Amino acid sequence: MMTQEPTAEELLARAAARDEGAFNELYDRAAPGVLGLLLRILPNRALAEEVLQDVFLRVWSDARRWTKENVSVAAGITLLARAKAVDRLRIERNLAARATGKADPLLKFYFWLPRPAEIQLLDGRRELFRKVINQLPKPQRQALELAVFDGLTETEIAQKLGEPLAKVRSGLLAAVRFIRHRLAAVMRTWAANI
Amino acid sequence: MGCQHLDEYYELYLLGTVSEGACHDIREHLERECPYCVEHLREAAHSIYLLTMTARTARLDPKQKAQLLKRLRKK
Repeated sequence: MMTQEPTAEELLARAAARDEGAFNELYDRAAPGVLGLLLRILPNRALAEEVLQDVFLRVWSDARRWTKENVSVAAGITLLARAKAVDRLRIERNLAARATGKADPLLKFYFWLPRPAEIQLLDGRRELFRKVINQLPKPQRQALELAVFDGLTETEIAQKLGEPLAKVRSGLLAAVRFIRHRLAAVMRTWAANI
Repeated sequence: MGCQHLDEYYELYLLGTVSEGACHDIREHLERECPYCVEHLREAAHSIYLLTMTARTARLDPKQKAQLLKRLRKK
């Protein structure tokens, strides 16, 4: 009889009970994606690996709370990794004064993090979402990528692109509105398909 | 104060892209577990999750995991 692979949330619950084997398995499963994201954000592999360790140490420490709040492990790890990487990037850019530890306030509260079932639905629609991103006008997509992967603020994006701040801000807001609208449609399509 | 003025900012808040003013308001609403903000932030997190998932996966160095487990046992 075939045994079903445990979900990330089941592995996390076991890690919360200090099962190192389960944590190990969770790492093997999630870390390649997280490292890929960190390498996209951070300037070198050594730094990315350092942040990767920080992220998983935090997962180990907070496993009980994440389990209790029914947090999607994939979403929690991904959002934590990005936030920590951006903080680190800002420190590396000698902007320590501005790196106000955003990662921690952001993940101080877990109740807003997506639920496992929501992320499961989204994972099934990743390809469609990529198409949505490609539909954005190039300047909006560029500004959004600078925000997501370079961790730039709207002011820094405006400086980098040589555009007025108001134009960059309205472009980012338009991009977000478009994504929200399309994502809602994508999720409705999913619901209709099942 | 209501939350509608924050409607546009949830995704940009999660990205750390917006001004301190909007960040401060959202943080304050989260502190008191405002149901409207929690719900909208969760929806915004869906988009941010998918945006970050456009990065490729990378090959792991086994030494890193050994080092991580060593640090973890010290905790």
